[in-house]
Amino acid sequence: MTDDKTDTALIELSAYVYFDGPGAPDFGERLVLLGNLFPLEGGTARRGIMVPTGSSGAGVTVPVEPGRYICEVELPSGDLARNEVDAVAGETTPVVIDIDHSPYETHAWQFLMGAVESRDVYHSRRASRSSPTPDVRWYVGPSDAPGWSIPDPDHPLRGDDDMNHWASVQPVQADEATLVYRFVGNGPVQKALGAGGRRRFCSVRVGRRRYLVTLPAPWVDLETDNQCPTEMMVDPDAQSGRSPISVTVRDPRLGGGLGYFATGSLDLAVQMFADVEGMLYEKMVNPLAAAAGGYALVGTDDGRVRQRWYPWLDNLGNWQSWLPDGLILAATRRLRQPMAGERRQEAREMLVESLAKGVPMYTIGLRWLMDGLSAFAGDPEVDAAIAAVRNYSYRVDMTQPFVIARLDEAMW
Amino acid sequence: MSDPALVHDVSIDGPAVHCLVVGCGAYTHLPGGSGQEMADPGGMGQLTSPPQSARAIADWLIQTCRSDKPLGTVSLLLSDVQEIAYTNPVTGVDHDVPPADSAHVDTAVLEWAQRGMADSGNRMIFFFSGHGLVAGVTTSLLLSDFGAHPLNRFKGALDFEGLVRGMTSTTATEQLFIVDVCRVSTARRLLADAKFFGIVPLEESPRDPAADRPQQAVLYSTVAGEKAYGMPGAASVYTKALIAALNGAGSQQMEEDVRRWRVDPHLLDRAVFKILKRRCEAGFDDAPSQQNSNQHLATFPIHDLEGRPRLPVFVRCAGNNENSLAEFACITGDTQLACREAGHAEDWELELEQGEYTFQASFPTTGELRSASTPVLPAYGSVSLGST
Repeated sequence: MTDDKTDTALIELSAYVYFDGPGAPDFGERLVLLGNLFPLEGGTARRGIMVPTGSSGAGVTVPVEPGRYICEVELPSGDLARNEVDAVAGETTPVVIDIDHSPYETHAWQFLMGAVESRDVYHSRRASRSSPTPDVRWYVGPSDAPGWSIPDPDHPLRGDDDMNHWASVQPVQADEATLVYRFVGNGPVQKALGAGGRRRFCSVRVGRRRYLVTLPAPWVDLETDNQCPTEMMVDPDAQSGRSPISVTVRDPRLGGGLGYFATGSLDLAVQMFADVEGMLYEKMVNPLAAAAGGYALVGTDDGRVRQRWYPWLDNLGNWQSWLPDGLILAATRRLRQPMAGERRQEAREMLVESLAKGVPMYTIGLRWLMDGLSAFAGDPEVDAAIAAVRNYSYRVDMTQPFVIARLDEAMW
Repeated sequence: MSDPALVHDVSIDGPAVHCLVVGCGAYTHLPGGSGQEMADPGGMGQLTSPPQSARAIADWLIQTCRSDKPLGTVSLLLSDVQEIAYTNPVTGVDHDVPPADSAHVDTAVLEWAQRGMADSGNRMIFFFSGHGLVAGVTTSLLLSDFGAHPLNRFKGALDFEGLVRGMTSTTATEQLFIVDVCRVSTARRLLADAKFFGIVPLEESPRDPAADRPQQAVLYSTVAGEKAYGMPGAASVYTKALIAALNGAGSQQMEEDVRRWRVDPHLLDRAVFKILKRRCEAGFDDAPSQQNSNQHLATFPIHDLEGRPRLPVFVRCAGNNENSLAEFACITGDTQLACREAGHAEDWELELEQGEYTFQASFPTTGELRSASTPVLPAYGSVSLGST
């Protein structure tokens, strides 16, 4: 392979992983993750390269000065994967970094996101499941069921316990330790069940433990308008430090950003969301993704320069009235900026209003809701809201990006 | 020095770095403490790691921390089952530091915040290590007199969220909070009926509408149980990773001068996460639950390295259970820098300056020699030696 510019070298960078999914092997997905190039003979590192992953297809081509480089992919899980390459002037050098260390192909996405250990650790430390097989159900009840709100502190979780409103769901994969479930907007990928309302919820019961899982579905691919599956892994015997339930979205373009977001790397997440900023907010075809992008943008904004996306957050709150996260974002953005009393009061009203719309989709939303409400402590209405959010949060797995609440009393 | 917690005090004209470090291991009213044991201690007891963590951080701040702003002050509070004296590593002066109880922490926070108000460009660093009740959106940092008041045990605690909110009312524009807590498994139950989660030294008051909001970065880790938290008498697992990250694992070349390396909150947080995860994979520790608060993670310099970063490096044999059979060596040029005898199941962990090295694994029983040369870069080096 040659290149016309003989004083420049090209590195074609990709990462190898074999995904298994519904329908076809490899699922046709090319999850994008962030990569870096470090020159070993002096010069400036190249960061934030969008690196396609998968088992086939071209990589991203990066022009560089000829020389030796370390090519690196940053996995949302916190793992680093690297290859060394000698980039030759006038040539394109392909570099494929192996990130295929998942315990199973079905777990590949969860592995990259950090929800499950690498193959070696998983198989050396895991014993067979000792907990009962989880009972997983998809909510198909009425859209106005009261269970999804954060109501009053005395009844933090009025759930919909009518079992006619919950349809049983089977995993797409189960091994000796974990079970994987996949959903789209109208139910598990194996069978359409319909849905109760705009929000999607699952109930997961493992013995005496019961969890209410907020599912980010339907999740629409911004480019294709197709639905991306939402994946839930249940690890009934999760050891301390690991979550028994983890939820990810198999969105090729934004799944990586969600993964960085989930592990607190907002600066990396914002790079991926900024790449599609306009698509997120102008088309508004995926309000759930728009909210995630909003959290990353607000979370990394120093408030010193007015950003063009400020009004888009208000649109998200106004146009997607079923999603409390939009109001939380718009309020937080106001509170983090120098402002006059009138704008401050707007923020208060938004936060209180968001509470009435139910549980935020994102766990970070609970934190920001609490943080925002606390700015108005002393106001009786706000104090009641603070108590309700605080009590609810005790049940939530704060390490997970989407709200997963434990409902049973055994947790105390 | 009017503030008894001050262990380092340099008069700076202009923006400076002001630090408050708290290490609480001796709890008067928990089992094993010197006072009357509280009812329902929730499974908690004495800790030996937090004072060591606090000393290590104070040492690092005084000896090593360099940035665009000079170090102004470090104040330190310790509750240690052994001793509370602290020797400033630069001046050599011994300090009998105040205990980490609610009265002294209350005063120390106010003094620290007041120092921050002297210049809007000041950078404030807060570090706490000790027991913590963490559930949902609540983080209550337990101080040495936790449980002293039977009717309100949380009078002996610091409301962490309240502290962070209170600091938004101050004018220091850069604020870094690092919390390293030994998480109590009974936290939900202990917090459930509480309406008060600890003292709040600073009142959150409306800011000047025209003023910039302080840029805050909050990093915290919670590890369940004392065993996973740290080795007895040594700094905690998290603090060790934090210092490794500060020394280079969390650094990045500065764009304006690629010979210089800088640590900022994002890089620091991510490097600690990576190191802890890699150590877990290496067989050293259980995975800690690192909870990034997400709500505040501003970007500002924390530390500019003098020279190249020093980095943790993990070396292993590719095959299962081969580590214990191999003798490891690290070589640069003709010099052997370090080695490890056979007999250790976990990966070989060493610290090296950024650069290129040769790593070897030799098997005395078979005579096999494996070798690999590789560059070591932030956040860590990872070498797998397979048979050829």
